[in-house]
Amino acid sequence: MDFSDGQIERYSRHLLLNEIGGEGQKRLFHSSVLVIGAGGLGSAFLYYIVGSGIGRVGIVESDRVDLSNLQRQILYSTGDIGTRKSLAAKNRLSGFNPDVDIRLYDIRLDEQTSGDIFNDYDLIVDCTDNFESRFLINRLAIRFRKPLISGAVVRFEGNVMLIIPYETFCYDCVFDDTESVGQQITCVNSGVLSSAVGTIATIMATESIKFLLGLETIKDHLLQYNARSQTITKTFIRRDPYCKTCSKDYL
Amino acid sequence: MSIDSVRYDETRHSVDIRGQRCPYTFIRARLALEQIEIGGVLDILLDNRTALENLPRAFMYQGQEYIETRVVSDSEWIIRIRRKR
Repeated sequence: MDFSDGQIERYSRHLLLNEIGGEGQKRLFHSSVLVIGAGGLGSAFLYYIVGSGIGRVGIVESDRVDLSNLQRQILYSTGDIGTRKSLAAKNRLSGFNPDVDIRLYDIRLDEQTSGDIFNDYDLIVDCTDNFESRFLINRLAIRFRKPLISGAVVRFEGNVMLIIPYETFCYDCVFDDTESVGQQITCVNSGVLSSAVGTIATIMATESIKFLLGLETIKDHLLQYNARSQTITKTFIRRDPYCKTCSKDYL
Repeated sequence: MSIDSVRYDETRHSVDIRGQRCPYTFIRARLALEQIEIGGVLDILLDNRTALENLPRAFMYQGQEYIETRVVSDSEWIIRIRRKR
């Protein structure tokens, strides 16, 4: 493909980077990302992914915009309250970058519906807000052998990981599903710092772009962020040889 | 003078970035260089004095080989770059 004059101007700050240039930007145009959840994490994540010129972006989201979302879900406006998040997100993002093919999946993912959708994308990104969904998305990514970036934030803390099926640790290698789902966020402990959500989302976007470009990523590490102390730590993690999700092909 | 009239025999590629301003001078030259094979040489015709100073440095920083600058007229130059990577 050749760049139009408008594209040269729009992506000029990428085209100037040694690590991207014209070849990298074309690679992004030919990439696709499936984003599950267009809430707090999804909002900030989607802005950067769409702005970067990733060619095709799928959004899985079935909720409607609520007033309590607007403290951190920066894709939406007060006028969007009550409307479907997927449609509001597409309207906003299409205006932001019309180059990107944005596809909506106004569904709740389950074991049956996900196969065809996952297989259509290069990278899956988990922007959901609960353990149950994260374990499900991890299982599906392993089953369909799709790389997965998973992020989470609660209160002032968050984490990000890049899971490459049968190569790196998976979500199940790190977290115990029975224990975690038992510690589910309830109405009294669901507080979250709005800007910390943005920090985690932008780290996820950075890792996604680097992964699609073939650059160095946080692979094999759990990245943890603390907004109180403004610290980021990366911990090397091995695959769990007894993991019930990803160990079956483990050598 | 046209770019062809000062072209060396070995050169097969050229890009005209006259009328462009920074950073599009470098971006358009870089996109042209990416189109040619490694080892190939690109002639960049330009009329921007800032780019005249910056382009050789920018390409060398990128790991490319700056060969030379040739004067075409009082306000036009050709910068010759070999693609190394």
